[in-house]
Amino acid sequence: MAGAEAAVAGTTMAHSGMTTDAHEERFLARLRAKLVTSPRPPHPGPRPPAGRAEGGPAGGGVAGVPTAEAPDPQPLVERFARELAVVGGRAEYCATPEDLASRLAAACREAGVNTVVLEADPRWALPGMLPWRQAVEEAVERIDCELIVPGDRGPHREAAAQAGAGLTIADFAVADTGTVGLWTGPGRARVTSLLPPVHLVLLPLAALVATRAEALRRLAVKAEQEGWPSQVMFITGPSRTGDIEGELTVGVHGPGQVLVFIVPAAGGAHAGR
Amino acid sequence: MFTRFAARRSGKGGGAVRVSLFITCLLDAFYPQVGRAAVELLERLGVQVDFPMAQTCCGQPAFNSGFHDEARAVATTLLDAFANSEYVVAPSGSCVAMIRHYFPRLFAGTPRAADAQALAQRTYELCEFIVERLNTTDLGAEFPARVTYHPSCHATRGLGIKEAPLKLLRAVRGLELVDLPYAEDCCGFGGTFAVKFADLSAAMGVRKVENALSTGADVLTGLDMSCLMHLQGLIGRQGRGPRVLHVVEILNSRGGAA
Amino acid sequence: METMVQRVQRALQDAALGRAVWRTTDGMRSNRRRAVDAVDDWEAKRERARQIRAHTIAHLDYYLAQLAQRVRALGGHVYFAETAGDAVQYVLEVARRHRVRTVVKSKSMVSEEIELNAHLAAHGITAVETDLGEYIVQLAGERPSHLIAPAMHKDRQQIAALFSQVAGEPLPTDAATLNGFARRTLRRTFLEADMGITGCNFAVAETGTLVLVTNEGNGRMVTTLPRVQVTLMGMERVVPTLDDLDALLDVLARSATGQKMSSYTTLTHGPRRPGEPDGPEELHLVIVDNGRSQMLGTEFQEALHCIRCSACQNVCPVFQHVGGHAYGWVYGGPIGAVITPLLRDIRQWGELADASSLCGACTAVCPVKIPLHDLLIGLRRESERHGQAPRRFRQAFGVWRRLMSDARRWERGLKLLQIMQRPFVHGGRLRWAPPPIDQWLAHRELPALAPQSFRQWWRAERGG
Repeated sequence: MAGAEAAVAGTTMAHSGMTTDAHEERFLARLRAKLVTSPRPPHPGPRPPAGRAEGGPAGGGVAGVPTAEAPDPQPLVERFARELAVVGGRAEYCATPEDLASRLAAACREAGVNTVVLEADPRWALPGMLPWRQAVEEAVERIDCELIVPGDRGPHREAAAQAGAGLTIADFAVADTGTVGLWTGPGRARVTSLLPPVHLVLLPLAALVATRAEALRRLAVKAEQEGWPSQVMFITGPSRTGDIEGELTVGVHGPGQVLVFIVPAAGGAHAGR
Repeated sequence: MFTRFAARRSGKGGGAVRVSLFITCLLDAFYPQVGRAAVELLERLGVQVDFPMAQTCCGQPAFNSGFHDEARAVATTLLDAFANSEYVVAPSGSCVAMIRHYFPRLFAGTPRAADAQALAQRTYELCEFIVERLNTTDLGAEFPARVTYHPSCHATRGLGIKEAPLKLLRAVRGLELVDLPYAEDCCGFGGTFAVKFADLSAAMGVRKVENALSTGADVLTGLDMSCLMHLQGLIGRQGRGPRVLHVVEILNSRGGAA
Repeated sequence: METMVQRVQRALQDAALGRAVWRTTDGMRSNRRRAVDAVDDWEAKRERARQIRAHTIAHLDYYLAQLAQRVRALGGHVYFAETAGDAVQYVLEVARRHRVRTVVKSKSMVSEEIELNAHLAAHGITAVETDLGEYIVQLAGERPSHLIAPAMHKDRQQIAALFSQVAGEPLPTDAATLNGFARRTLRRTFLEADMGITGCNFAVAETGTLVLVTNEGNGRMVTTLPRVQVTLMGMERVVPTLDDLDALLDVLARSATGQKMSSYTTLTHGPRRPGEPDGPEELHLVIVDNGRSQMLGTEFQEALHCIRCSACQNVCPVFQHVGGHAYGWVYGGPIGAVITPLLRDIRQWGELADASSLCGACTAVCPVKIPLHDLLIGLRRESERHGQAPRRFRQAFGVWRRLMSDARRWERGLKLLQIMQRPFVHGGRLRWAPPPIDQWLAHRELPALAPQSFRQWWRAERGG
């Protein structure tokens, strides 16, 4: 077991005249001195990846349930929708862009949404995404709603703060828990899924996995290739609290509604292999 | 009928099972009738019971309060008393938990460490012993009453004894067993806690008594007399509540009021 | 300073408090039960979680070093704070450099330990709690009374009164209105704040990930809107790998609220990247010791395995009766009774370990299998060694030892007591007992010693 690694100098803040390295080393040495008499149990080792069926798709989730890339994603979609419903969200499957347009329009109308803020997400530019982008624009137009696409940093916050809904493309989703996953990146603002009272999610089927462990594995692969995004958000249903007499209230600081539209697209999702 | 029991249950060398009774200081001083019932019950099952006089107390009151040297001095009497016992049986979950879980720790690093370990391995709570060692659930008992059972903390969480007492009670003729709401909640006795935090201990016990009252039971029972003494004391002071009996007294009943 | 006994007595007299605490804890433990029963392999998950925590704490120096290196590589600043004062000074220095006037905070129990808000206020910096429960107790000038439901001791009338003061007009008491008020009021504060201060549920060493587990969204607000982020982390919160994080997340939300996952689990890797439209420009991780290292290398090291789920609080009969404030500091319930004397001074705080019937319900529900009730016994032993046991108990156990360490003495003593008790026996009950046993009689009848003890009977009937 290697000892403490030398810290990379990252800050010049000093503490009583010591350099950062010396200060940290003193802190850690103090811990080490106390731990020297303790038993040092080993790490339990990696967990066996669940449900790797013989000859089945790699990166699979629970046994018998294929990932969305395998032949039958239906059970996965159903489980996702069920789990999301349990926590107060809603998921719908849109087989075609027209399907998305009408469902999205209906949802926005029902939620009384007047403006939808969209991120300048580079994935919209992917060839497979164009029909879905058009469907979104179509839906918004149908109900006389405004679509805002903020260009750079400044307008994102104001736009999101005033919008009735924020629409994001999911980076991944977890069927086991009804979780939608987003990460940050160029053009993609955290506030889009946070400030408006309604969060609309376009979930490409290829992004849906069975378990959170699988999602984390995919994240690690992406990080290896592209570096870590500054924030990865696991969003499981609407914002909630029970702080007043234990009574559940939805939509405290974050969105009160999470509406997910699952579409048969790759959406640039990482395969995790 | 009983010779059949005796024949089935043979100990080493083909003789009857021999058990040393650990009476516990509480039963010894305050509730000897529970001890007598335990002896009668075991002997009726064909068990040979002896009572090594050198025993006093498992040391739990001192141990739980942090007086570990004192606890060890007193607990040693059990190591000596039961040195030659094949089985040690006590009508008490908390005392057996003390021996099984804490004796090895209490005597670790002392010359008696091996004795403590050995005793821990052959000490049983009475219901557990009857059901698991003697393989019996029907004791031929009769006790017509509505009864609710309080599963004490040491027995359930400490020793994992959940089903044995229930199996025995269900086989008692005439006995209607009703579930106690929030059964696994602590009764509030807690040893010196009962006097150090008397108000809180009483509040916890009152809640348990209210739950017992809600069942309409005639009798509240359990396998720890410490819990029952506390609950019986509260019932006595407030003037309402079920009669309180140790489970062994019910299991030893042959009909009519015990 | 008030004693634990006094605080407990005061709490027991507060019927409204009792109702509020019971409602919260009974509800939460039921939710936990349901969630746990729905999982086939709960015990296996607990055992794995225990092993991960045990390994991590035993190698704390290694993993903290790795964490610090990764966070710095991601562009974050890392400061190791040995004392509360160190942590406070560091945060004040960051705030001063950025000319911070308003801070928004998401829940941080470490910030309660170091009394950060008071220190910020003393330097003219307003810190606003944004977790709804924390906001409520901040308005009330109180500490949180539960690990994850800070205002559980308050009813809606009390909350409405607090909010009405802020609103400048009386507000109705329904939860929807009160929540709406908090959302609107705090939204403004979020958007205007200069600095965000968060706690830290976990920090993953291999990746430098800071993990926040919340339900309201305020954790996201605090890590997104202000330009500077400071995360306060108890040093024991480090986790080796992402897979270990997953194993701990598996048991955390279920143990806490009965959810599979909280609404928001956010993983932060350093500050905003170039090209990202939002997020803080600067991120500081403050790793806090504040007495935790005192537990390392002792039998109490396991207490550092805690992941602050509150399951122990929700099943503890003591906590269920008196709530968290009775424990006198930041942490209540079984975990509070264990770590408070260890983080602070056992001579002053060891009494917390006495406020327990040792029922073991805490140990049974702890997702990382900390033997909490055994640690309480250990603390009582340590207190006794420090000479902290009350004199009456010391004397009583001295007498008890002399009496009980020899069976003949016990038998003789018992016989003597049987005679001596006679003037005080009435209807089979004792009407008087010496202190400290007299406390029993305040609420309960005490049986008299049986006229013939079991061993006297055995001797007479069985010739023992």
